[in-house]
Amino acid sequence: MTTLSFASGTLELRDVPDGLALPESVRWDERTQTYRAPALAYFDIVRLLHRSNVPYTDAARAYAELEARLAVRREPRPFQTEALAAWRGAGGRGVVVLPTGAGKSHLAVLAIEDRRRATLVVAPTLDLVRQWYDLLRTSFATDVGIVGGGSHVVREITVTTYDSAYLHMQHLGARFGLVVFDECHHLPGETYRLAAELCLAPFRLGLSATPERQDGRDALLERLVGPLVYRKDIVELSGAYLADYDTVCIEVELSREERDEYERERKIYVDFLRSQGIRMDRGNGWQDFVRRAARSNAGRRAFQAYFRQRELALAASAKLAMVDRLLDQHRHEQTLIFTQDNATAYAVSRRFLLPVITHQTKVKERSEILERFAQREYGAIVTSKVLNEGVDVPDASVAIVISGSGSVREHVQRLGRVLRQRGNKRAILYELVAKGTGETFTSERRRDHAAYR
Amino acid sequence: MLLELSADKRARAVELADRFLERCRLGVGKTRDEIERSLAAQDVRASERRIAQALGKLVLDACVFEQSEGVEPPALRREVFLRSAAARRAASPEAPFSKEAVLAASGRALGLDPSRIEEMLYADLRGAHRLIAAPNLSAEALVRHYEQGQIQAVLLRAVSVVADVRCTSPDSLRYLFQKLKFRRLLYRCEALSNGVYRLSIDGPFSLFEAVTKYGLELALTLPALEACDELELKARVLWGSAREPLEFEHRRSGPPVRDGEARLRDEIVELLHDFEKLDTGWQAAPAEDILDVPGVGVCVPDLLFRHREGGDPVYFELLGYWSRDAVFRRVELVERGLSRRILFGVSARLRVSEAVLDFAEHAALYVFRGKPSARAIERKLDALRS
Repeated sequence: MTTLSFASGTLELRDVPDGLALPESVRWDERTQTYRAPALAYFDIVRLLHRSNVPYTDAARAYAELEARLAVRREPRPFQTEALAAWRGAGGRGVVVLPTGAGKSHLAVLAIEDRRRATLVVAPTLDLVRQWYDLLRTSFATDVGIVGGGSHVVREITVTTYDSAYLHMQHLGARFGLVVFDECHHLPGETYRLAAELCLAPFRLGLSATPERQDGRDALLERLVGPLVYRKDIVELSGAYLADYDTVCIEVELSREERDEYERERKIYVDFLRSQGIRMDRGNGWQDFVRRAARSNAGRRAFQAYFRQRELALAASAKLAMVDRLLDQHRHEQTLIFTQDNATAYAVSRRFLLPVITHQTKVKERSEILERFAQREYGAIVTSKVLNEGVDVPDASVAIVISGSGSVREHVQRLGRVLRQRGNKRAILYELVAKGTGETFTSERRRDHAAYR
Repeated sequence: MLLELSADKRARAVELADRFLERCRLGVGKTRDEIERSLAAQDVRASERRIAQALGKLVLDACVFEQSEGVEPPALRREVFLRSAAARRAASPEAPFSKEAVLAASGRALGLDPSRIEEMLYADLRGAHRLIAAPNLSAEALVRHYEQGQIQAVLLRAVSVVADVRCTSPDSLRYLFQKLKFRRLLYRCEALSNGVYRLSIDGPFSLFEAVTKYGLELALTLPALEACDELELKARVLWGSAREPLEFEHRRSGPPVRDGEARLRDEIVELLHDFEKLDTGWQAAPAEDILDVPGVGVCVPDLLFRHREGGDPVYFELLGYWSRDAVFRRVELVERGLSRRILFGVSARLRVSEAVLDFAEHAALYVFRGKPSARAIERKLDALRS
């Protein structure tokens, strides 16, 4: 009889009948004289054995039905019910896209209750792990395991980080029937994808507000998690389930000195591109520039010039003057200030004496800053990218984007940070752009989303 | 083949490394950001930029930085930011927010000068840490690390590696095998002529797409391979995003340089602990011998058991659960001349019967489920002794 077993994140198949057309991911392993496949193939293999009427022993699956029962029942919002139905219709495998603040976590709770299998939730940061831990412990009135951040307690519902998941999945991969990948756009990374590949869970739920990746690897999500089964964007939910909002783009002028230096540096950069025939509008334009810039001193100078002209636009002095005015104007509202890089975040913090949260901020201090922000002891926080996702940010109604990348996902996430609904709140997002610089193009790119139309 | 640095380039690399090390020695007391800027500002030719960046990174990794003592920046920030938030809320057109006023009030509360507050506000950031000790290594050693790093990067992409090694001292060979086992690499070993051993090691691309963890373990084994007197390494690699199949070769000879001591695998350490707790006549210790059957292969036992009442000692090798083939190679060793008393520990997942070694009186197989049991091993040792 055919036997399936789990070995270090892979599946071993023994005594497979001759002529059975195995999935492409299954290989013959000379070392052990067995067929072997990444554990991800479990669902396909079991389905194949069923459909082919091949009797088999499943020694791989080490997960059980969930004993814990949902203790706190919250009425789902209509779109959550629709999303659950769509996911269920896809066989319990797929990605659901909902905006920040729309209740993705609650959808996961509903999915766990729907499948009733031992569940692993994978989240990108320890902060999110703590938030999931609290939510699941309360929702299911049971002890929840944590793997990561110094803990290694595995229970029928367990929460972990992507970092710990890929490190430990070779041992844990058979113990869960459902895996929830929170902020699943992280999953297709070179190492994080192992978290999905070394795990045999037949049921998988991916959650994200913005699954698209600039490197195009979001296409891998279909193989690692399942197809996109449901999507609702900010504009479809604002007003009813998210706060109404305005977005305001403020163009500022560079000072005369900044403009002169900007034009000088930009010319060095652009002249180099022309002399080398580099087209930045092509897919490999940036890589081409980096490669050629490394080959000569003129290239190196052009590389420096690129960063200097960009820095002049991103951190223009007029932007900081505008921030000062906006802080005054909204001094009784809670404000989040976003920058593209840490250096600008710290410069803003020093200039306006505001608390800053970056990846360098220790967890204890970050928690304290967020707590004081929630208590309104602090009126504003500066951050670069850390608060784009992964941290439960207390309610805020004003966002000031001093600078950012051209990423639509980042810009949508930043907007999402001020959309948590509260009373008749109307949120506002200011985007500061240096007029007549390359930043105007970056701004157009990142606003290429329904939420900004 | 990865091009080795030519004599000229090597001399230039040593010169650069020396310059970087000198910058650090002169920069003791400066911040990390200042040191980084100082290294980046070194004038190098365009063709040398890559190696200069790599050497700069290695130099920084070897520096010791520490945070300045004095005021605790988090407490300082809390004081300043709370005052600032209150001042911003209370601001009006007539009395606008004033950073200077906030710093002055914070200074009075903390007994510090306002300029000192600004200076210390983020003194705990990594870039603000001060260099307290420059790297204690030579420019030549730094360039050696660079060269080793190049080869390690290639090994991360390996399908398979064949390494022919020769060690004049048994100690070096033992060190290498202990490293291979500690890193849990999948390897086969055969003795060639003239004291050369051929190691065939599975690469991270051997079956599926690269497994990063395994690739890292393979790369980290390179220093142990280079610690042999002679090394000839050939690797089949899948290179670049197109996974282009390439062959890679690397040779090294010269006095061996070790990177620390070899360590035992966790399972072996656990087994030693378990044995200590048993009330038994057997004493266990890490094995130091390499058992060589000329023309057939070698075996590197993990432990050596001696009975308090004397008699021949018994070697023990734990084979794990990845390679069934490895078990049969051990059986062949016993069949073809391995004469020492030996017990092989094999996971039941490899589906090998203990009976395959029934023909030998001095060797046995111990098949275990889960993890090996000290008590069961004791029984097997007793049987081998009698």
